[in-house]
Amino acid sequence: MPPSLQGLEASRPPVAATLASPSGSTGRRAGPGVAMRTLTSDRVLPYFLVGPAVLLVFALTVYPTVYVLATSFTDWNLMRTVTKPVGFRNYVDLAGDELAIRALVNTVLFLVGSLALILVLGLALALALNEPVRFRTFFRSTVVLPWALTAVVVGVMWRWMLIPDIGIVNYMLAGLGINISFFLSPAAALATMVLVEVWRSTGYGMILVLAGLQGIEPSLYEAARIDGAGFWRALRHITLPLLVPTLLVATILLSIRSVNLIDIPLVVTGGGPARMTETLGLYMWKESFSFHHIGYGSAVAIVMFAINLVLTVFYIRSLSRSRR
Amino acid sequence: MGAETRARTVNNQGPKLAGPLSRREVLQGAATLGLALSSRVAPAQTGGPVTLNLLLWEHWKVAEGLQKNDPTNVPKRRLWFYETIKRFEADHKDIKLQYQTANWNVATQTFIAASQAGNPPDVVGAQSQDNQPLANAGFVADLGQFKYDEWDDFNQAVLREACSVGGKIVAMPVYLTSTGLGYNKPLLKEAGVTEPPKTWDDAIRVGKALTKDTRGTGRPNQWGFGVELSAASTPNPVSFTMPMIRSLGGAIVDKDGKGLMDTPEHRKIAKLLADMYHDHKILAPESLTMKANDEVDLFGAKSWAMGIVIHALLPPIIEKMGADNFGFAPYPTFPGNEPRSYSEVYGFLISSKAAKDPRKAAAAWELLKEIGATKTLLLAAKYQFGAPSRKSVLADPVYKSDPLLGYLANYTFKTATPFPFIKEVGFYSETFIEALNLIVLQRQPVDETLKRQQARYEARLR
Repeated sequence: MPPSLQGLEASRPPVAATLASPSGSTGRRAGPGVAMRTLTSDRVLPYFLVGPAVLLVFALTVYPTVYVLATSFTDWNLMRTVTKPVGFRNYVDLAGDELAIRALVNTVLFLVGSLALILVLGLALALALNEPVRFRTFFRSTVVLPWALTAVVVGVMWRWMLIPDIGIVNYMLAGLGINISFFLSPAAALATMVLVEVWRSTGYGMILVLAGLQGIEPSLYEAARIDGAGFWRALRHITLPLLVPTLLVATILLSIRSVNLIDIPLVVTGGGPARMTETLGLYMWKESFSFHHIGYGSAVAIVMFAINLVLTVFYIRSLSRSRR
Repeated sequence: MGAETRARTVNNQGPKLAGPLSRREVLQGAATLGLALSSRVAPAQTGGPVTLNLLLWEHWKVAEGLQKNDPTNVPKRRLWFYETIKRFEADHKDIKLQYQTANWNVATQTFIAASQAGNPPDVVGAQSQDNQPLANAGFVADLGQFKYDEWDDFNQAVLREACSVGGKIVAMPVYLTSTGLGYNKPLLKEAGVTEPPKTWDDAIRVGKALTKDTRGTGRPNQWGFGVELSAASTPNPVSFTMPMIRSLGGAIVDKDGKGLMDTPEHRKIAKLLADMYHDHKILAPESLTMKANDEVDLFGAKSWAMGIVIHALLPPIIEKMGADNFGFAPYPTFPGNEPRSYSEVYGFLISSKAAKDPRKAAAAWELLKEIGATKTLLLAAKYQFGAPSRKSVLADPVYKSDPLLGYLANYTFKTATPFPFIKEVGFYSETFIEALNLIVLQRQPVDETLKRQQARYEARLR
């Protein structure tokens, strides 16, 4: 905390004390005041204030996570009424499941491809729209607009535009004598999914980077310019090093989305052709809700959770190192 | 005064608040609160109107119209259901209907999840392949508990194969649909073809004449044959290839409910489709990437000149193309075989929970009788080209008023077979479709691929 704020903090009376004794008196009083003072004391009041949020987090996040973890050790099938514990069998099956491994590889490819493109394009757009150009607000809003659309809507829209023979993209390409089937080969279908995600999330990446850019002192650029540094040197030696924390946060958020991704593959390719473009998220969804294997699907969900955890810890450590 | 009262209250309750609550007291409090809330949410129905909760398919887009009593936004082909429910409501003032919807491919899961939670909808609409797992899990009622003299009038094969589990009828069948060969009449005429192909050899010959690159891109944009084979339209590829296999005398399931894909008939069909794609180059590539119901646009845009289509899609296709431009014929066959068809049987079921409540059970049964009534089937014929599930209805003049409708009704009765009950049907479908994709798209060896996929499916059964 900056020294100026530390001073401010020290001089401010505790909120609880102010609430408990409007007159400013902190003397002990007998009777109902004791209970009220206890409830509103610095020791107790924070728990009351934070309690509802903590309860909500437990109810909506911690409890379901623990429940899914417990479920992953069972053979729960929606179409059966009896559920038995199976120990680690779901995880053992998962390790040898060719489709799950393929889904993991697709997830990694999707993550790397979309992350790289979103960050590079987001950075470029943020740099451009951080300059005092005309209609800057309009351009910023336009770039962010796809992020405001539901991923399913984006997926359906792109699917329709890319369908060979009847989609608008191929209609226009036909004018150039080209007709492409974007979903027919697994590589093309996966690349199409990446492009759809990049189209949707680049604006989000740009907003994050833009926030980081606006936190950089303009005097640093001024000093660099006086020293004769051009755009690229300033980018390399000032902008990028100071953007590292922002880029890492963007990486964490986008990575979690990529690992958990269901909507885009479900809508754009349905995992096809031949289940070649299934991601872990889609695989988990199919196992749980299409084949009704909730136990096995939960094991996939826990693996996804673990991947997210490992990635997040890795990024946070990188963030700490970059700050040091 | 207010401050005094508050102080007194706090004072009176002070010792209780100050003393720590035991875990038991906390649990008792929570349980009491829970009971109080649940009794508010679901009051016991002891008198007055009976409320029935219906789970319907979202894409029918009928629930909102029913709630608002306004059919304006109900698609024309769903008006049969709207009008039936309105008729029922007018005749049964003592029964109130409430609606919830779910996407068609998770509607059954929604019902199962609600059943497992102990609060299922009272009546649910489902496709016939879902009936067995629902009945085996004990989630739906045996309709035999209700007195009914009209079962004999229903199509017995449909009742036996699609609506019964273990000899007990669990679903009231409504309309039937069938699959067949749809074709663009002007394009066939332009290609010098006077009638739709009857054999697969004919289909290949006609398909070649129809496949064209009209834009000059070097890749055809008008295809001679299309059929849903895509992972994105599971389980339709199973339904659409099933008649081809059955026409050859094959089966897609054994007597124990195990799905089959490594059979001579499956191999023959897979090879035919791969040849159509690679050698004859008439199979539309979109067959392998499309979504269910894309046929409407593919036919509408002349991307498909000919292809397998479910007759439930005929109204929107005809709306796009015009009745004079679209034809429907039986599946082509191999020489000497009779055409078969897949029949979608849509039925309504009563939850076992509702069946235990005498008033709800009686109300739900009244609703099911209305849904299976002759009047309803005629409305389904009028709006959705639905083929009737009752023999007596087949003789109604409505089927003579429109040649296509009459043809469809008779064709469905003659050729249709419902989707059978298959263990782990979702996994079976995905595995078979994956095999078809690998064989057709990547030309993987037919025998080896089907054998490997059959083994993968059987491993899942174990």
